[in-house]
Amino acid sequence: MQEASGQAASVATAPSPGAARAGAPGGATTGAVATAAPPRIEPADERLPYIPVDTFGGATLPYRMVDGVKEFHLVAEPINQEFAPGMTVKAWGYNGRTPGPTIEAVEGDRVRFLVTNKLGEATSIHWHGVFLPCGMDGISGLTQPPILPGETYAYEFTLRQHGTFMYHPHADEMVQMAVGMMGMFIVHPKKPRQPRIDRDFAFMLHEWAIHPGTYRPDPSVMTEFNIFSFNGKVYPAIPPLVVRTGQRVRVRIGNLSMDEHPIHLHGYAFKVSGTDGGPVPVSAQFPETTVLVPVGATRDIEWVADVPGDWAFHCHKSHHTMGAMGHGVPNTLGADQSRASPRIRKLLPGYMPMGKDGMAEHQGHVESGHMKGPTNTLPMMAGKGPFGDIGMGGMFTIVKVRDGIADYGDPGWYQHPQGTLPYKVATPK
Amino acid sequence: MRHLLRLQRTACLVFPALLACSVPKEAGFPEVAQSVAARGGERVRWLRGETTDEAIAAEIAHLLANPLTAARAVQIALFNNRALQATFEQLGVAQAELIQAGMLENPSIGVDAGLAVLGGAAVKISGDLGFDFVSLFSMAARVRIAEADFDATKLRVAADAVEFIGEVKKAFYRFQAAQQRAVVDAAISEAAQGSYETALALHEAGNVSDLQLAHEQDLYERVRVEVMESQGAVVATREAINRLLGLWGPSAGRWRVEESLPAVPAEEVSLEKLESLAIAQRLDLAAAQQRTLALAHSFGMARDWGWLAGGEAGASVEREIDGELLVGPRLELQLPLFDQGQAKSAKALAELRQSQNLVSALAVGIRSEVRERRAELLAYRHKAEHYRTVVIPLRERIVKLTQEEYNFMLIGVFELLQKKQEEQAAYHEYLDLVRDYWLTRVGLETTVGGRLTAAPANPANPSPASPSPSETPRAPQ
Repeated sequence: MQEASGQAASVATAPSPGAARAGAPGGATTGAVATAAPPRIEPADERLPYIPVDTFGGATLPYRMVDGVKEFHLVAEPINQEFAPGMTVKAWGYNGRTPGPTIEAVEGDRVRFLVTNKLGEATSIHWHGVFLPCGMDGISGLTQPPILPGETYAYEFTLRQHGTFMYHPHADEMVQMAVGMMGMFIVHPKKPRQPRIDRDFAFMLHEWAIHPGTYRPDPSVMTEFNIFSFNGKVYPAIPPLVVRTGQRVRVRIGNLSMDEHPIHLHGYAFKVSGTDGGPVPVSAQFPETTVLVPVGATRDIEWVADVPGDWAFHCHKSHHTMGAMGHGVPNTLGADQSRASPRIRKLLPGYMPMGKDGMAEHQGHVESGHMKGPTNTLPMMAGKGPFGDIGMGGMFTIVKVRDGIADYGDPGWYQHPQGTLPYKVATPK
Repeated sequence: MRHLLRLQRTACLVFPALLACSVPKEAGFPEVAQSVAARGGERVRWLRGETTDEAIAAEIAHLLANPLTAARAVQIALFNNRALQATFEQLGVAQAELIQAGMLENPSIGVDAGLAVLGGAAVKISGDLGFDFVSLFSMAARVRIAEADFDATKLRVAADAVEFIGEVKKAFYRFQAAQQRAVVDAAISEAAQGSYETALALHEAGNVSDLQLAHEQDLYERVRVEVMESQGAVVATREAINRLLGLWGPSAGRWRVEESLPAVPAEEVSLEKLESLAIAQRLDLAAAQQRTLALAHSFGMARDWGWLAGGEAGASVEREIDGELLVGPRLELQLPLFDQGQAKSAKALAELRQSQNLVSALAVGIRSEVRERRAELLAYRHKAEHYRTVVIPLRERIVKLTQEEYNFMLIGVFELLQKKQEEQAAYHEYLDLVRDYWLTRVGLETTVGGRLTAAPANPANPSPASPSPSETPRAPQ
């Protein structure tokens, strides 16, 4: 059984023992998509029962066939990952990345997961939402002994459902999940359902407490998170979702963070077509522009991308689309600090009062270079579009819908047709 | 024979004139001036209403016209301080006592006249002339004692002058430090004021409560009080200098110090053999030793001449009523029957022993003081260096890192200004330590007798004992 070739460069083409895994484990791997040429859009391979999922910014877990069993190898280990240029995080993940590579299999497959523990403490893997014998459920102490450091365990079961599921540890899970151990587990139906999905995306969202100037997430934080990611990346480093006009798109979203996230799509209304409990019957699907993804759940959304453009796709909790910010700072909105600031500037060269008319000016100050921040800390607002600063961070990316594209590489900015842009009618005197 | 020669030498001005001799004017002052100059190079002058006084006044005015340094302040004080001049007059007193010791007693003359009250113009006149010859024998001894006392006085006056120089230097450093600290405290106040004015702006915009604003003002007012105290210290230390330099009126307010407190020097002057140096150089110890010598001479005199209490020799003339003139010698003598001077002798011996013990005690005390000052000096050096190399750079780094967090809106301006105040406070503490180093160093110089190194072979070229004026690192602005 071969994997489809039209996918991000992480899929092995020749299964063999110790096959190349996506990303070298244990190293300081960046989560950036490889520099190989973007995959071409080819007619779907009718031999495959599925179109492989695009885990944008992430990877897919390769497998090898061993006597009819799909065998996967997951290595639980500490990693270094760049969330965006200027910020590297000392996290824990699988096979060199967080979230771990996406598992893809087909309903009916017999699957085997070899799990090697390279952490300093015991771990296990729970297959969230998957129907399996209780002993394979992965609860350390309850259904299995812990996988001690250095050990490798094998989980094996037959998949008897399809849908969007997840995998994550169930030993010291508060810490292990807080520092990044999780991944998506997609099970495709034996026969593709209709209407056929043309473009399938998956991402895990997550929130982190990485105090300014530090490199390591703080697992004891319960509510005050400051870094928000899709697939272990933050804006402006989250890759766009590239779609050809007219394609039926599905996005599968997994949430193993500490809060629910309302994920909003611009320009379309979609239907929630599945959860980690299974597919939602069409008659039960209702339209949304924002899907609320609860903690410990997945949501599949579907729509036809029939209008081209650069469509924002982001969490609608506005603090979640910002880089790190202090939450105890004095409120300077509307305050005229002109009397105090010359005095302060004499004592602290380079001091500037901020925030009188909002915070947007901050991006310009930071990018001009005269406001240096702490080490390994991203500015609050970043990102440039064709019309100026976008001024976002965290859980923000763009669905780029384009007519007649030949591959899924970044097509650049949308060229707006005449008459579809707002125009200035008045300027201040 | 030896006694007579000494007698001649010290009282040589007396005998030729016999009556109305003059007292030499220098009164040993050149030796005092030489002692002081040998230690620090400063010049002393005894102002007695002579023509050179005008030149000195001109020099004082010239020194005051320029920015004051420690050396200039010492020089002005040595010329201008009237209490010091009063100390110099002790030399006149001691010299007078020396001359007195070498002077012969005046002879006495007595005349009686008797007139017959009842009947006749009879007149009886008698007269006598007497001269205390006993004091002649003990004169040499008395001169020896007075000489030793005079030497002791010269040494004591020089010791006072050296100590006075130390006091002036200390007062100067205290003023220098107070002036610099006032600048640092003003910077702290600026930061506190920046904080308060920002709070006012936020309050005006409706972003901060009355309570928060009152709290911010409270923090600011505390700092203002400290600034007032700093400024008060500048006034107080200035007046201490004015007192020592003998200044009043316009000249008390006009002088300026422009240099900063000098930094702790990179290398410490050798602190070896300080105890022996102190014993060799301390003028008050030498004075105490001279005093002991004087008391030894006193004891010798009491032992040798104590039995000879007094006596007069002379002549007497009597003219009787009947006109008869009687002339003859006269001798009066105290008989040492009961008092042979044994009490005087014992007392002198006790006083001698007392002085010897005091000299030993003083020497032990001096050695201990030297060790104590030296330890203090090294401790202040160590602390000041720690501040300069570790604490202050650390506070500066904290300000820099805090400003980075402020830049990214992770913390607010109040926290940033608080860190800036703490940085300046470290600088304030450093200034105190540097000042205390110099005060201790002057104290050590004085304890060792005026200079920290042994006098060079050429006494006309003393090496400086004052610090070179290298700048203290300026407070980061």
